[in-house]
Amino acid sequence: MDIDDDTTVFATLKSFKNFISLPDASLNQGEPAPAQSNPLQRQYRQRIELLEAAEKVQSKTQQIHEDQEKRQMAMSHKRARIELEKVASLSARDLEREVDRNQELLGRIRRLEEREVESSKSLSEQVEANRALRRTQETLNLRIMERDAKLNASYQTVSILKDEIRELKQQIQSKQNIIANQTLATQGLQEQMELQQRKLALQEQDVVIVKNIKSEVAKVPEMEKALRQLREENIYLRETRENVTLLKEETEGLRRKVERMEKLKEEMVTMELEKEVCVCVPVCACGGGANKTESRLIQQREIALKQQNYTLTSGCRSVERSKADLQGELLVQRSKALEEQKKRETQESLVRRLQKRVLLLTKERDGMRSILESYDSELSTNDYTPQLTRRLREAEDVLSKTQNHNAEMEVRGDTVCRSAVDKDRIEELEAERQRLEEQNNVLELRLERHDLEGDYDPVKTKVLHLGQNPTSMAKKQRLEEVEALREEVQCLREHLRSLQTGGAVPAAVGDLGVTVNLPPSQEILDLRKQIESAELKNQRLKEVFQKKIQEFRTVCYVLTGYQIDITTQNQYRLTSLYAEHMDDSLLFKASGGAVGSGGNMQLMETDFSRTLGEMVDLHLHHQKSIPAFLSAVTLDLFSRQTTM
Amino acid sequence: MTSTLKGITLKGSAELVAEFFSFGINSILYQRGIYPPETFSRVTQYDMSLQLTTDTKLKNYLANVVSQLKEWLFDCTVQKLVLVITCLETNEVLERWQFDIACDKTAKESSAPRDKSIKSIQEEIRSVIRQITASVTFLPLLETACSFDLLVYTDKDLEVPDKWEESGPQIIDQSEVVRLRSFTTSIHKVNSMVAYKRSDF
Repeated sequence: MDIDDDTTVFATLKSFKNFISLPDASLNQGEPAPAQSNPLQRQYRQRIELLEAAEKVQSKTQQIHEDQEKRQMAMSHKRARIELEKVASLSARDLEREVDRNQELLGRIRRLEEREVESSKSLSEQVEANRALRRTQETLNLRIMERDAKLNASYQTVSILKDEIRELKQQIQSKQNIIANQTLATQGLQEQMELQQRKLALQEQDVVIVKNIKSEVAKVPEMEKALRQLREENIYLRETRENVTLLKEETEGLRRKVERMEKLKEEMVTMELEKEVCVCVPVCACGGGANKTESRLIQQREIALKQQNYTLTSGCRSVERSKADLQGELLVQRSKALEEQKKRETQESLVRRLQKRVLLLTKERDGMRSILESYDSELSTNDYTPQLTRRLREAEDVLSKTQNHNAEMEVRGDTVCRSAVDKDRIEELEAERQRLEEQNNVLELRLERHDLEGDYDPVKTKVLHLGQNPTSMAKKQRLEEVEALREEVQCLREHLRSLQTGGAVPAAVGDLGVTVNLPPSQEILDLRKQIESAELKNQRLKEVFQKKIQEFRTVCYVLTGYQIDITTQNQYRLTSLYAEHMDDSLLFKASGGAVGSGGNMQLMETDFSRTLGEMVDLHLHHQKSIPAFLSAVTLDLFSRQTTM
Repeated sequence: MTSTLKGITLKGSAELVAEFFSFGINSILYQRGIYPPETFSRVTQYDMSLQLTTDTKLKNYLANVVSQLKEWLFDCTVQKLVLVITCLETNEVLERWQFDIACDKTAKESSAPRDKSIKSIQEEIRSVIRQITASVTFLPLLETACSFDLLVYTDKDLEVPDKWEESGPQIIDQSEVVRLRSFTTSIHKVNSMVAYKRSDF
């Protein structure tokens, strides 16, 4: 603003000066011209003076204005100065501050430069340290690389060893499988052997059994005798029992009689005693003579009674003894009968057990027969089966016979001896059963192996899967791809054929099939365009060449007067413009290669050339110039034509 | 997840086993490279991270099979589940993952839940899946393009549902069989094994 005001002040001063200068000029110019006394000139001068006065007034007003403005400007200038001074002071202060700052900054800069130097030193040191570390790192890297290489080598060796281990394991497994198969085969063969041995043993056992049974059968009549004896004893014992009962009754009767007798005796004794007492009293009273006879009588009666007593008691004792004996015999007989009953019961129980065992054995035998038949069917060896069936039948016959004998024995009443034989047979059968169980286990293992592999019993299970499963879809896709590829191949082959036969029509691609996509690539299009353009160029060149050559030939004909035609290789026929006949022509032959290389031209004999023999001699033979000859011929023909 | 706090019921056991099959089959497909690994995404199950396929077609197929399998597990009519891996070029079966299922049929009659903790079942399942993952070490590489199929061995008298059809057992001839671990929910017992074609040298 200050600057602007200054400029305006200067501008106004300038204008003022200019203005001041102008009126002087105008005044100077105005005075020398009053002598001319034209009214117009006066008017003009008056007008000019008026104008000048107006201008003066204007200038005065302007001056006043300008003075006012000047004052204002001065005022403003003063204000501006004050402000400027303020600003200057402020700027001085700022300058001082900035100088201080500069100094500070310079100091900082120095410090920073020092630090820079130090840091550069440290940088260099660190760079050196870095380099050293890099070297060490490189060496370490090299070492690591070496170790990696070693590790890789070791990994490779490890992998190779693992592969070898796998191979060996697989070989081992295969060999183990072979071994297992062979052991199974050997086991099978052993089992067959054992079967046959068992069959032999069975037969031997059957023979032994038959012998035993025969011996038993031999024992049967003795046993029948013993039975009869026992039955007779039984009858006898029953009879004795009846006798015993009778004897008992008799003894009871006798006892009662004895009792009665004793009672009677006592009564008799008492009676007699009373009598004797009665008699004795009077007897005592009467005398003693009669006492002796009565006492003798009494004594005789006593003796007789005593004798009777003794006989009775002895008879009783004998009867009691006989009774005791009979009772003993009874007891013995009873015990025997009980024993017989027990024996019968045991025999009956044994018989039942034997019946059960026989049933079990028959079942086992049936089962074993079925197993044997299954094994035989597996083996399917024609050599063995008839013998085996024969043996089986024989064994079955023996078994049936033994069963019949067994039944008969049961009916008659068995003994204990047979159970022992049965027990032996049962033990053998149990041993056989164990072997069969082991076989069963082996078969179950085989079944399990098949089960692991995925085999199944079609009777109990079936295998299902979804129709739309990934494998079938993948197979379908493959087939479709294969089909598509085949079709593509066919289309391409046909396309190739069409291309080879000529006329590659890109439009035909679409006719060959929808699935074939031969995208006309850019290269092909460019090449086609190039080809077209080249062909066009060719055609144009041909046309141009044709035109030019035509032109040239016509010009040659016109100028030289000869039409030159190439008939065959290196033969040229010239026909003159002025030829009298159409067939008049000269034949030249170029020998010695191409014409361009300057081969010799020779004139050939024609009808027309014969008529020109003189010129031929002159120009060709003597002068050896074909152009001269040709021009001579032309002149000659021309002369002939014009004259003719 | 069956949240039977008191024990395992037949339905819960069927769901657990079906879930195991779903994750197990996905693991096998990922490990054997039947489908490219970028089509699988990680999920957490049984306290371990497993791979689940994101391919919609495959997902639908697996969902169909597993849902049908769940029904059959509930009816106790399924005997085995087999995952068969076939080479597409030669149509040979290269690997066979077989899962034998033994069902306790008394659970059908009594509806009382069995006493077995879900954690212990999950532990067992985890060990089986770890073994499947570790089986990569001894199984031969599948170098050709392969595809898989799921076969189910059921009772003979079972009614064949819609879209299912009978098939052969697709057994590998000359195979090596390796038995893996088994797990049991006290109602269903699952035995795992893998059979692979012996590679001749």
